Amino acid sequence: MENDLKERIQGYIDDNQVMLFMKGDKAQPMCGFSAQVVHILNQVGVNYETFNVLADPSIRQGIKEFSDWPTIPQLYIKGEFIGGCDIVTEMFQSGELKQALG
Amino acid sequence: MIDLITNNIKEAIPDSNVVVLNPMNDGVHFQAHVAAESFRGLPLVKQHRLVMNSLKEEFKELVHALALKTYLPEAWEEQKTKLNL
Repeated sequence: MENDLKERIQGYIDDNQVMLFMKGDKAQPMCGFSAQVVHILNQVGVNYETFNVLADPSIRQGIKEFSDWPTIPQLYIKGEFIGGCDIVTEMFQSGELKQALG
Repeated sequence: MIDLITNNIKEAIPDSNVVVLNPMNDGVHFQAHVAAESFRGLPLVKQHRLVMNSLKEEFKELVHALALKTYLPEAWEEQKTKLNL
């Protein structure tokens, strides 16, 4: 993976405590799984930033390699890869997500 | 496709019990329940990563999504009954 792409991705993660790589944006998610993560983050009431991978094919591919995770959405909290929709949902239900955000 | 997904997961995690479903019957959204002793001690994200990465190629085109639940063997028996598998 090219260094400048890696650095760009790392930059988004470093600059935002809660960073969601998704299809579409907060206002208009373009996939049910991205929508579900947005819904959960809204419900938790945390500040978060999103990146629309549909607008940038290089990040869309790059983030998969970067995170060693083959699907979108992908959530990062405080620089750490959390997972996709299933993990975020499970952590939300168990209360771990709030803990991770705290 | 269900067989392909099941086989890929089993190849990646040889001690796993795998049940793959296609709940919407659309051939692109799948659901997998995977139990394995090798999950013991691994954080959830690593358990999921083992499964998800066994389908890297499939995710590029054939598979849109895999809803995944992972279990330890002792939770699996109970879960099988619950899910009526």
